[in-house]
Order: sequence, then C-alpha cells, then structure tokens
Amino acid sequence: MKARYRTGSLVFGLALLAILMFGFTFALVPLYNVFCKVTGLNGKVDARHPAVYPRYKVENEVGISRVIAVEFDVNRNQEIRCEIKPRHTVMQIKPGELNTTSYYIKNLTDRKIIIQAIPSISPGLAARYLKKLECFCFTPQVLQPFESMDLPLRFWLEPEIPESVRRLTLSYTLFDVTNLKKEAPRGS
Amino acid sequence: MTSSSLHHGYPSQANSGAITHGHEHEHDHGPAKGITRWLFTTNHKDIGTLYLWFSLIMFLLGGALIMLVRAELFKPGLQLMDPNFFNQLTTMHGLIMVFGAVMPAFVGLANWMIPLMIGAPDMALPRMNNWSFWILPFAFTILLSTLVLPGSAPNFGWTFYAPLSTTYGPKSTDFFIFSVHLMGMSSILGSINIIATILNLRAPGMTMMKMPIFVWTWLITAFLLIGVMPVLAGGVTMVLMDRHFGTTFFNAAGGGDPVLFQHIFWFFGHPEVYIMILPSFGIMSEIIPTFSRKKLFGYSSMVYATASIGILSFLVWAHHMFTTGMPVWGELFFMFATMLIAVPTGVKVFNWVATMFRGALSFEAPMLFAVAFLIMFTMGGFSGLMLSIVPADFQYHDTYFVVAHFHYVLVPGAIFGIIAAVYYWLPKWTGHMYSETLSKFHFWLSAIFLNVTFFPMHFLGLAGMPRRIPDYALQFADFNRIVSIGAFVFGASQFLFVYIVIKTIRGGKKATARVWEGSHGLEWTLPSPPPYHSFTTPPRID
Repeated sequence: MKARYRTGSLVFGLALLAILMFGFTFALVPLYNVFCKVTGLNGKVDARHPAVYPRYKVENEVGISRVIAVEFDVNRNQEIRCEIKPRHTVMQIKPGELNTTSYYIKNLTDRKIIIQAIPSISPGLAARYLKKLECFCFTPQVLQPFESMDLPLRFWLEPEIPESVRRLTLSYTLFDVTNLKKEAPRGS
Repeated sequence: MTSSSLHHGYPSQANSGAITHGHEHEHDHGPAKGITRWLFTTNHKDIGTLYLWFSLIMFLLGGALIMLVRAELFKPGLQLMDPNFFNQLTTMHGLIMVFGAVMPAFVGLANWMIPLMIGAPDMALPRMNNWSFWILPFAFTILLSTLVLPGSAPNFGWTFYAPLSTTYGPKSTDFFIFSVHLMGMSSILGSINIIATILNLRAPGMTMMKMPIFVWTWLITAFLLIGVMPVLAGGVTMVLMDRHFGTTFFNAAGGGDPVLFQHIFWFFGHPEVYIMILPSFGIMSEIIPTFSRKKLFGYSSMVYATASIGILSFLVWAHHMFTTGMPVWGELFFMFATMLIAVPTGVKVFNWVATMFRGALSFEAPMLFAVAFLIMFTMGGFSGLMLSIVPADFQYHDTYFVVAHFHYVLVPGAIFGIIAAVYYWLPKWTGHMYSETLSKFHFWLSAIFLNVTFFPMHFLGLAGMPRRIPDYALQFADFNRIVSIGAFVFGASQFLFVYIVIKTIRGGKKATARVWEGSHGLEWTLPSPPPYHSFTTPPRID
C-alpha cells in the first residue's frame, strides 16, 4: 500500500481551510457592502459622495423633457423623543439639477441626544443615480436639550437615471446613537 | 479476482468465517474498567457509542421541549406558558435537534462504521477524536443551563436573526454564542479526523471508487462542515462583538446591515441542511441493496450526485431570504439554482428505486425505515421545490408550510436514516439481534404518526398560519389538535425505540458475523460484536 498523504500536513491543510473560512466570514462584510453599492441592492447609497456638483453643461438639454417626483420620508427606528419632518414631502426634480431642501428637527427632551439618520432609496435600483452634496446623514447630529434646527440636504439626480423611474422615495431611518460607543458611521 | 465491482472483491463471510488476527492474543487489550474507559478512550467504537448515546439523550430532550409546545398549541389561546417561554422552547428545540441530536448521531455512526468499512484499525487521530466528543457535553451544559438560570433562555429561534439576538437578545445569548463556538470546534475536529481517516487509512486495494457510499457521503459532509462551521462561528462572533464591543456589523445605526446577518447565517445554514441529510443518503445506499439482495444501482452516479449536491449547496443560500427585498435577477438566480438541486437528488432517488426494482425484497426494520425515508423524504423534497418558486414563496414564507417542509426532510430524512442505521448495525455492534416484532411496532407507530403530525401542517401553512406563534386564529384549531395528538404519539413511541435498543444491548439472539443475508462490505467480515481493535492487519481488497 502506498502512503497517501502525510497525516500532519493533511491536518494542517484542513485546519488552515477552517481558519480561512472563519476569516472569509469577516471578509464578507466589506464584500457585501461593495456588492450592495455596485448593484444598488437594499437601496444603499454610494458612500463616496462627490465633493462638488459637476454643473452639467447641457443642464437644460438633458432630462428637460421629464421631471421625477422625489418623495421625502422619515421614520424612527426606536422611541426617540424628538419631532422631525421634511420641509417638502415631495419635490418635482429635473435630472441634473442641484436641489436643496431640509428636515426640521426638535429635541423634545431635557437631555442631549445624538441621532444618526440612515438613508434608503426606493426603488433600490435608482439609488445609484441619486447624488448628495450635503446631507445630515453624513455624520451623527448632536441635539442639545430642546434644541431645534434645520437639517440641510443638497442633492441631484444624475441625468443617466433610467426612463422607467418616474417617482422615487428617499427615506431616512433615525437611530438614537447617544449610547452607542462608536459614533462615526462606516457607511452613510 | 479481477472484478472491479464494489462488493464482490471483499472476502466473503460465508467461506472465510470471522477474520482472526494473528497477533490478537499477544497484545490485545480490552477496554479499561469503569468510567475512565469512557473519559479517556481513544477507541473509535467507544467514541462512536458515546456520540450515539449523547445524541439519543438530546433527541429525547429536544423532543420533550416540543411536546410542551404542542401542548400549548393543542387549542387556541394561551394555556400553559407565556409567549416568551414558548419562544425559548422552539429555539432550544431547534438548536438541540440540529446540533445535539442529528449531527452527533451521524458523527457517532461515522466513528463506528468508517474504520470498519474501509478496513482501518481505528480513526486516524484517536486522541483528537476523544477531544471532539468531550467538547460536546460542555457545549450543551452551557446551552441548556440557560433554561434553568434566572432570566430568559435564548428566544430568537435557532436562526438567531439580528437584531433579535443583538439589540434584543437576552443575557443568555452569550451562553448560546460560546456553546455554538464549542459545537463548531467539535464538528471541525471531528471532520478533520474523518477526512484523514478516509484518505489515509483505507485497506490496500480499496480505491476511492470502491469505498462504500456511506464513506463517500461522509467524506463530502466533512468537507461541507469544515467549509461552513467556521462561517457560523464567525457569525456568532460578530453577534458577540455587536453586543459587547461596540461594533455595528448588523446595526444600521453604525453603518451595518441586519440583512447581512441573514446572508452569513444562511451561507452556513444551507450547506448545514445537506450536512444533516448526506450521511442519511449514504445509509440508504447501504441498506437498500442489502434488503434488495442486489448491488447498488449506479454507484458512480451516486458519488457524483453527492458531490454535486455538496457544491450546489453553497450557491442557494438566499432562497431563505426571498422576502428581504432582493432584486429580481437575484431571486431568479437563487430560484433556478435551488431547482437545480432536484436533479442530483432525483438521480439518487431513482437509483434507490432502481436498486429495489426486481430485487428479492424483504422488509426487516432497517428496510422499512429506508422505504419510508424514500417516500417521505421525496415528499419533503417536492414541498421544497414549491418553496423555491419565488412568487409562491412570498405566500408560504414564515408559515407552517415551511415547518411542514423541513420536518418532512429532517424527520423521515435525517432521523429515520439514523434509526434505520441503528437497526441495521445494532446486531453488529452488540452481537445480539433486536426484536423484529417490537421494531415493527416502532416503525408503524413512527411512520403513521409522523404523517399525522406533519401532514396537516401543509394545510395550516397554505391557509396562512404563521410559524413561531404561541396562539392562533380559531380556524386553525382542528388541524392543530390533530397535529398535537400526532406529535404526542410520535414522541411517546420513541421510548419504544429506547427500550428496544437497551434490550438488544443486554441480550438476545446471537447475531452472526454477516447478520443480514444480503449484506456486503468489510464490516460484515468481522464477528459480531467486532473485537475491541479491529483490522490490526489490513484486509486486502482486490
């Protein structure tokens, strides 16, 4: 009978496979985020927001023929004692045009609260065409007791947005991150 | 002998009698005395026995928990328990049955049978073997202690979806996490051992394509285990970190995503369901030829089908997640990949039927369970096909239809496979024949009441009864009563199984080495029971 495999190296190889699979689980986290952003899965928005608005030269030519209704929505993930509402519930947007709106928020407690807004876009496949220059969701927002403020939002829709999209919803979910140890979000 | 066929190359019991080993009398030593035999044993048979007893105890315990569930569901309204305790029961039932009953039983069978089937003296790594078993009682002590300690036991279902297990998990979730880590280590060590044994310790002349199918299915299962148990370990580690170390893997507030949890869990979870069925396929491929008195039909196609199922199992996980909001192309991919699994599975089913076709059939207990497996597992497979259809799944998702489906593949699939294997090899293990009359009673009680229990669940699910609820709408009352009665009788009849096994161990008609008229394979060349150390001289397979 010929010797097949040295038991030591076989065990080493198999144990290595197990360890690699353990590492692969953690590698799935960035892989998943990349996958979602490339495909627009789960309505995730591209985290790499452009620093400047590209000023489409042909602003009036592209997309002039159509407007897209963008709806603004907000929900609380858990009980957060604050008032929040979008300034506009719906805006008629020309693709390529820079738009500004805001959300009004008021802290109804006598404590400092920190909130983090997580955006989601529906339909998910349109997510990648919505670009934000400025959004209150980029960083956690600190609200002093009973403080109220306007949370700014500046965005545009890329002219390449498919014809089939006539209406899209930009929805924020508010999280209370006052007690979360890590305050800086990884995505946006 | 030049025949390349699987079975005819083995030394035949009929003319050679039990193989005796020349050196046996000089340095044969039996087991150590007392408890140390079991604590320190490195013997594959002892460890196999430990695994099997452990699994039987867990099977009864997991069954007892679900009896409470069925008692609560006997009629609408809350009778016996509050909903949180109900959730703890279903969670623990799932965890115990998957990790405590089914998986250790298959590892026990592998320990007992693989060395005997491939002509090896023992497992390749006997001391590690001891370790991989003795981790398990500790893992389950940790897990089960949550039921008696103050506070809630894990109550989020065996799938422990975030945020149920992260933000909202009870304190005992950490116990659960560490016990899963231990179970994972046990499985990985066991799998490394099984692969090393199969690859290195086969008797001379036993090429890969002459190995019994049970050995083949276990080889592939072991690779699946090494592939996915670390993913489960990584998943629970992330839950632990989210709970205590401020990470936000599954928390959108910090940029994580709860849907990612489901991807990680089912990337483990789907191969896991094949881990729980492939060894059963192997058992069927041993039993059906024996009681058909024919060679297994399509040996090599069985091997390739098993390997295909193993590979495909990594590509279908998201069919558990059709309702999470996947894009259509994702749903189509996972739908068709899932349907594709029906092809190799169908090959297997047809091969078993072809093995029985025009065979000289006899229906001893192992064969009865095997035939029941064949019919009812196929039914479970078909309801799986129904669930794989995306638009239909939107309707069936999280209903009792899913409960019916996976119990039809797990109870007649995994559990009946294990019971069939025990009846099949018990005379070999103990040297005594079991009572055929009692085991037939056990079979008919199990087979009938299994269907009384699980068949009505299909209708409950189609009518819209959700899973994991302690109370339900009045229109489901009649079927739930039938289900509960079926479950009580099915559960009670398993004590008959325990009685039969203990009675067989204590005595009975002496078993011959070959035990069954139609049996083939190396394990039947040894006397019943086999010597403590088997095949100290490797047999030759031509």
